[in-house]
Amino acid sequence: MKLTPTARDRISAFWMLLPTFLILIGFYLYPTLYNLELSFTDITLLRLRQGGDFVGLENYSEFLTSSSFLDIAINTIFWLTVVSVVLRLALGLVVALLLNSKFLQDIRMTTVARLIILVPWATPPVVAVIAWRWLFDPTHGAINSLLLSTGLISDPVAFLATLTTVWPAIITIIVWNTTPLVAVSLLAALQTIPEELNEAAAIDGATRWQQFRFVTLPYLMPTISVLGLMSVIWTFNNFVYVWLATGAGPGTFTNVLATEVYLKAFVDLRIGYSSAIGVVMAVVMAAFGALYFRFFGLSEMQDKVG
Amino acid sequence: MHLKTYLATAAVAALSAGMALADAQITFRFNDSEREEMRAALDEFEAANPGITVELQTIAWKDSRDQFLREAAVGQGPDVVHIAFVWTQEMAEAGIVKSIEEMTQYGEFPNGFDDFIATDLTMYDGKAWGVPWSADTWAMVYRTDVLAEAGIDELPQTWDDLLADSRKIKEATGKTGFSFAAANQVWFPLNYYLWSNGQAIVSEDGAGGYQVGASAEELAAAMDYFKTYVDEGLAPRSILAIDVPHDPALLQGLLDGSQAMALMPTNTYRQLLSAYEEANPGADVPFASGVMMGGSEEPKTHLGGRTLVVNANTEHPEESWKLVQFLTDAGLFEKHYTNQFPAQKTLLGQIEYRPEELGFSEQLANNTRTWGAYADSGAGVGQLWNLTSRAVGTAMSGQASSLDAANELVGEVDRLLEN
Amino acid sequence: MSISAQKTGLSGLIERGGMLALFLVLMTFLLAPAVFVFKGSVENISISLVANEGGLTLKNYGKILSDGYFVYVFNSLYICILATVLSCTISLFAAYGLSRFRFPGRGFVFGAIMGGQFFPWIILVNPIFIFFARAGLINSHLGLILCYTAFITPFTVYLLVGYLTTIPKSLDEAAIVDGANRLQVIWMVILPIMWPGLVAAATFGFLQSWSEYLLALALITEDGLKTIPLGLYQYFGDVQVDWGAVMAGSVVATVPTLLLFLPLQKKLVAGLTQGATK
Repeated sequence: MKLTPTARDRISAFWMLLPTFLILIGFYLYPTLYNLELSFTDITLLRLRQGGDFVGLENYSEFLTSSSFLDIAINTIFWLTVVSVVLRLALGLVVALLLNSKFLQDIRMTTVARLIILVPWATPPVVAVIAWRWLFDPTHGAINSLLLSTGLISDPVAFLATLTTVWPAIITIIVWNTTPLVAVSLLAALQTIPEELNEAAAIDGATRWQQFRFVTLPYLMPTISVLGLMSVIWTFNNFVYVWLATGAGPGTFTNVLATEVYLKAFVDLRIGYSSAIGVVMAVVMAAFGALYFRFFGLSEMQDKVG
Repeated sequence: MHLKTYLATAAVAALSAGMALADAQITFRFNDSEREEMRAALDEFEAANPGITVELQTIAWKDSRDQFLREAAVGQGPDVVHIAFVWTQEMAEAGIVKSIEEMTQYGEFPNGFDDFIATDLTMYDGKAWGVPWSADTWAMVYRTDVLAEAGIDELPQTWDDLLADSRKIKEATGKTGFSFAAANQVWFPLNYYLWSNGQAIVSEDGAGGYQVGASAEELAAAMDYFKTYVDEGLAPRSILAIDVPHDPALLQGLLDGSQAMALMPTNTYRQLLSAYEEANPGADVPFASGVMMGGSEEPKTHLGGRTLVVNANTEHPEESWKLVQFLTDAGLFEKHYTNQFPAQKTLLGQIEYRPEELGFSEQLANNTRTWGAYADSGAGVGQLWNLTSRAVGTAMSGQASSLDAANELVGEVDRLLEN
Repeated sequence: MSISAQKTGLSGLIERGGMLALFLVLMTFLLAPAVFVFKGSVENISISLVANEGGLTLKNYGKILSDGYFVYVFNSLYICILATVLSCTISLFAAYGLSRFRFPGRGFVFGAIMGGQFFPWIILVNPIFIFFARAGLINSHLGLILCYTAFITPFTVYLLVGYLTTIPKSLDEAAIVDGANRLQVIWMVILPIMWPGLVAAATFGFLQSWSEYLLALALITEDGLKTIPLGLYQYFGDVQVDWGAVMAGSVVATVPTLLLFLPLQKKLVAGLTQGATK
C-alpha cells in the first residue's frame, strides 16, 4: 500500500512524539491525577499506608477562605513571579546582546564571560542563598560595607529582615541564579540570526534601535516567549529561594503559594491539604498558560510553523 | 513487608538460638555528623557479631522524618533508624515501628528499660515504641570577658535581669548583649519565657482535654519582651531572618566578642568552644554556660533528644535489636559517640563535664520538662511550632501589633486543639 | 551589531566605554557570590563564615575527599550526562515533529507538554516515590536518570521548537527532493544548524538535574549511590554546619560543569549559523 505524503508525515510525527508522550503520561499525568484524588481526602503522611477519608471540597474551602490567602496570592503573583521574571528576562537579554556584540568579541572577553555566566547557574540554590545571605548581612556583609563607604546609607540595613527590603533582596538572589539560563538561551537564538540581515538593514539606513526592533527582536521572540512562559511556571511553583532565604518570614511577610505547599506537606505532613493547594496553583497556571498561548508568543510560534 | 521471609527468619532465629546468626545485612540510618566515629563503632560491632554487616546511611535531619514515613509506608526503609524524641509517637501511630515489648524477646537492657529517661515520649497506645538514645537541652552561654568589660559580675537570673544587662552592655561597650535566632527557632526561647511564668502554648484543661495555656495578653507580653531587643537596637534587626542558633552570624558575634549572651543546644556550644580554641590557641576560654532565665517561676527548658526505633518492615529484627543494644551500651558513649549525653539515668550520672559546660549539666539534670501536653494534645508539635514562630515574627517585624499576632495565634491553636 | 566597531570618534569611545562598564558591573554581580564561596573553600572556616587567621588551606578539600565526596561527583556526572543526552535526543525528535508536521491535535500536544509543568512538583515527590518503590527503582540510578529525563524534557522540547521555527522549512524540502529521508534531514541538515540551540538545551538539562535535591533525597538513600546535592546537605547538621566543607563541596560541584561546558560553549561563537541561509 502506498501512503499519501500527509499520512506518512503523520506516522513520522507519531513516532517522533511517542517518547515525549510516554514521559508525560508516566511522570506528569499519573502523579497529577493521583494528587487530584488525594486533594479530596484528609490523608497525612502518617496515614499514608491506611489511606485518608474522603472529605469533598473541605481542603479547598479551608485554603481559599483562610485569612492569609490573599496576601500569599499577591506575594506569589506580583513579587515572586512578575517582578523576578521581568527582571531576569531584561537582564538576560542585556547580557546576551553584550556577549554577542562585536566589541566584546574584539577585546576577547566573550569566552571569559560565557564561563562566568555558567557559574551562578551551576551554583546549587542552597549555596547561592548562603552566599547572598552573608553578603546581605548588616555586620559582616560586603553589600552593607559598600553602601556605607559610598555614603548611600548611614546605618547598616538588615536586608532580609526589613519589610521594605526583603522582597528586593530575595529577587536579587533569584535573578542572580536564574539569569544565566535566559542569557545563554537568548545568545543561542541571537546566533541563528544571519549576519547579512543586520548588514542589509544597516545599508538601508536603519538605526541601531530600528535594527534591534525590526530585525533582532522578531528573531528572538519565539525564544523569549518560551523563556517567559517557562520562567513564570517554574518561579510560581518554586519554594526553594524564599524558603532558604527567609523561611517565608519575617513572620509570614514573604509567604508564597509554594512555601505554603512545602509547609503543609513537609512540616505539617498534611498531604491531602497540600495537594489541594497544588491543584489551585495548577489551575492558576493553566489559566495563565491558556491566555499566554492565545495572546502572546506561542501562537506566533505556531503560525510561523504552520 | 514480606511476611513469609519474616516468618522464616523468625523460625530460623528461634531454631538457632545460641548458634551464630545467619548472614544478615542490616541498615542503620544515623543522621549526626559523627559518621567516621560511628563507622568505627559499627566495625567493632561487626567484629563481635560475625555474620551481621551494618550499612551506615545518613540523610539531612530536616528531611529524615518525611523520608522514613514515606519509605516505611511502602514496606521499605532502613532497619534501625535514628529519630527525634518527639517523632516517636507519630511513628508508632503510623504503624511503622516495632514495639519495645516485641523486641525485648531478643534480649533485655542491662539496667532495664526503666533506666532510660523520657520514656513517656515513646509511649503510644500503652506501649513503648522506641529506645531513648541521647538527651539534650538548651542553656545560656556567656562571653565572660564582655560581661566583665561592662562591669557585670553576676550572671543574670531572670528575663528582666537579662534585658537590664543587655542595656548595660550596650551602654558601656556598644556591643550586643543578648541576641537570638528570631525566626523559626524563636520557638524555644518563647516557650522558655512562657514556662518560667507559669504559662504555655498548650496545657491540660483539668477536664481531660487541652487548652491554649496562655491568654492573648500574656502571649503578647512574651512577644513584646523579645521585640524590645530589636526595637531598642540591643540586638541587630537581622536576627529576624535568622532561624537557628548555629547561624554563622550569631556564632561569629560570640567568637569575636561583639556579643555577650546567647542560648543554644549543648553541641552547638561545644562547636563554639572548639572553634574559639582553634582560633586562639593557648588562650583562656572566656566562655561560661548557665541555667536559663527564670520568671515568676523556676527556669525550664525542654528535654530534647534522640530515639532509636526498629522499622516494622525489617527482615532482621533480632540482628537489629542486637545493634540497638550495642548502640545503647556505655562503651559506645565513652569511646565513639562522645559528644552526646546518653539518655540513661545510670550513665548520665557518670558524665564528667568541663567547667564551661556546667550550666548545661545543671539545666539537663534539674530544669527540663518534656513537651508533655503539646504532644499529647494531638495538635502536633511541628504545627504549633510553625504557628508560634510565625506569630512572633509578625509581631517583631512590625507586620502586626503583638496583641493582634497573639490573638491570631490563640485562634489558630484553638482550632488545632478542636480537631 | 557589527556597526559599533566601525564607529569612530568620541561617540564611539563613549559607547564602548559604556558597554565595557556595563559588562564589568554585570560580570561582578554574577561572579561576586561565587568568589565568596571559593574564598571560603580555601580558608580556615568552621562554624562561622569569617576565616581564622593562618592564610590559605586545603583542609576543607581534604575533609570532603576523606568523606568520599568524589563518589557523589562521579555519580552526579554520569547520571546527569545520561539524562541530558537522553532528554535532548527525545526532545529533538519531538520538536522536529511539532515544528515540521501538521496533524490534528497538534495544539493539544503543545498544551500537554506545557501543562505537565503546572503542578508544583514538590508535591509530586510522594506519588513518584510510591510509583518507583512499586517498580523497584528505589536506590537505583536508572530511576533517577528516568526522573531527570522526564523532568527536563518539556522545556527542552519548547526551547528546540523555538529555534526550529527560525530555520526555514525550505531547507528540509530541498534535502527531501534530493532523496534524503527525515532522519537524514535531522542528522545532516537540522543538527548542524541547531547546534547552538542544542548546547543551550543541554546546558539547561544538565544543570537542572545537577542541583536537584528533593527527588534524589526520596529515591537514593544508599551512601555509595548519592549525588552531589545529597552529599552537600550532609554537612548541614541539626545543631551545626561545617561551612568549610560546604564551601569546598560547592566549588567541587561547580568545577565539573565549567570543564564540561567550556568546550561546548566555545562552539556558540558566531559564524556557525551561516549555513542556514546559504
